[in-house]
Amino acid sequence: MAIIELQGITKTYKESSVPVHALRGIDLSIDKGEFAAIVGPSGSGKTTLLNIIGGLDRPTNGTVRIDGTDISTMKPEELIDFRLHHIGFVFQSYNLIPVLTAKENVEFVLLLQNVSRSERDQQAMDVLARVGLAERAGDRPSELSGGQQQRVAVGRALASKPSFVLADEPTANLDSTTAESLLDLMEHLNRDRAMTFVFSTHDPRVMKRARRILTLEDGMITSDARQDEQRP
Amino acid sequence: MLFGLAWRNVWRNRKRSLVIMTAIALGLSGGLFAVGVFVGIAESMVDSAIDRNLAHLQLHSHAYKANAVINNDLPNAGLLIDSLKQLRTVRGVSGRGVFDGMASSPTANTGVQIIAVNPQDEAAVSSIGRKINEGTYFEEVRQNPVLVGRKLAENLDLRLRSKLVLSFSGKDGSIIFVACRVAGIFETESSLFDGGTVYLRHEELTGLTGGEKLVHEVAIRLQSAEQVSETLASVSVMFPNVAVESWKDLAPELKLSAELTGVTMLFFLGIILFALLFGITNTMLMSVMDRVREFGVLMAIGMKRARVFNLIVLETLILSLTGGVIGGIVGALIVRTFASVGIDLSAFADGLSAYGISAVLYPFVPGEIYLQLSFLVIVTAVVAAVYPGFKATQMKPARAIRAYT
Repeated sequence: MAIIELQGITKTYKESSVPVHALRGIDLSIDKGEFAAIVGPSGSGKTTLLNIIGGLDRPTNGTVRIDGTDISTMKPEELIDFRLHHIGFVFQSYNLIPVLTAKENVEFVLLLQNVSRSERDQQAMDVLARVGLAERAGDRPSELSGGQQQRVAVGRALASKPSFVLADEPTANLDSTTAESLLDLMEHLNRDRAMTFVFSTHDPRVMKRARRILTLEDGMITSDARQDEQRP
Repeated sequence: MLFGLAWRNVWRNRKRSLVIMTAIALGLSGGLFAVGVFVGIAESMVDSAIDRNLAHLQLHSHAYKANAVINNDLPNAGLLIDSLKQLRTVRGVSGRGVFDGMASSPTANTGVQIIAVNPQDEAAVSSIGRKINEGTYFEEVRQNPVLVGRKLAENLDLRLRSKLVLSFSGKDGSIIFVACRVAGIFETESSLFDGGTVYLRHEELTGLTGGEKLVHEVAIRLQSAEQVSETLASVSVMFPNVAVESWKDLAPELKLSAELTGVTMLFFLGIILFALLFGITNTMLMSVMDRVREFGVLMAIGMKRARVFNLIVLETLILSLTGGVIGGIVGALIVRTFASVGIDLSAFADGLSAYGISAVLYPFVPGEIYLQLSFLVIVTAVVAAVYPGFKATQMKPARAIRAYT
């Protein structure tokens, strides 16, 4: 069953005198449980596509359906609420709130969902245990390594129980060992909990793990390849 | 948790927050001290006028109110005074003969107001006995002792035991002359009063007016200034044929001055806060612009714009109220310290006494000013948060996440 469906998506930026066509007619469908990577050279439109799937940007034309709901016509406040309940985000630079502890960063999404204090506490600790950081719950981001911060970011993305997680270059700032470890975690979550992951990446380590690779060039999908799982 | 986040955000840039908190604290403590001084001046004017001779309430005959001459005295004043002394709220009652006359010394003469009193009763009502800084309160002079103000003494070249002739119209229109001796020289906060007032004992006046005790004015001192309205109402009912007035009716300029001081001071604090508002806005704006990426992330993961706005308001409130509370406490301590030791303004005593203001000033800030100030600080914080909050909510998450901050 498709949880992400894009039809005829175009995106044109008209901020300069020459319009920039970032996406030129994307049709895409991603099913529940997929572990997909969007790859392509810089400027190919990966980030724009990810923003549109994540409801952070609107397409110039076309429709975006998430869990069967057309989000391309939603009002900004409705979109924020939709993101809160349906989409998890992992960013390249972790983007944790520096003044909150690891647990509070995870808990914050639950606060936004108006989950009660006791439930928040329980669920945040469960999620931290799942990403292997229960013992670092009280540490602030500055006290954690890059890999640990990205694990907390994955935990934050999972805490809201989203339909899928969008990860924008999640391993770009990590060393090789840490990146592999993070990918192990995400692969494990994908396999055991059927969590759908969509990456945008340049990283060959991610491409190697992804079971579906969408190649984007000049705003168009030029290849959509499925590959068997390969263990490093 | 949102409060915790706001609190920690405020302390992210400790130096910047401390600078604006210090500015708020200094502005408000300085403002409170200034308020204390001005309220102290207004209170000094009112208190010294009440203490000097105004008292809390005064009773006159309606005829005397229309024409303040010696004939228009209060009938049955003795009974009236006895009844008033029985009232629970009354601390002292003094029946006064008050009329105009002429004071002459061997070197000069001048028009004065002659006030005839029973020294004991007057001591319970006014502070005139305590204001004598030369001589005694009607003592040590056997015949016709009088009290004169320092200014009058200077104008008429009088010293202790100097001879002074008072002249005034009797009830029958004849001119009465009486030779007196200065028993005491008083000096109040008002040079105007000191330059035109002579106190005489009632027993001397009674002797001069054919045995009749003339009372034109009954001055009442209450246990507390808070009881003025209550006592005014009951005395008016008790004596419907007499003009009963509070100090506010008798000296409307003092009432106006006291009321205006409160309003003026609030306006003054408002101006200080208005200036601080721009500083607070600037600090919060810098704080928001430092966190563009963070706000982008917050909105991306599902924080609604209203909640982002509330977070900024909360941070601004914490910043402002912390500065405000420190300023309030420091200001209150400064006011309290000077209220106990007083501010010596004797260098300006001549100018101040022309307005009836004491040369030693005791600053005072009424409790309600602190409440009004707290409200003003909250309003200032909310107003200061509007623009930074608006800027934060207008960010586009996709763009903000990639900001280089």
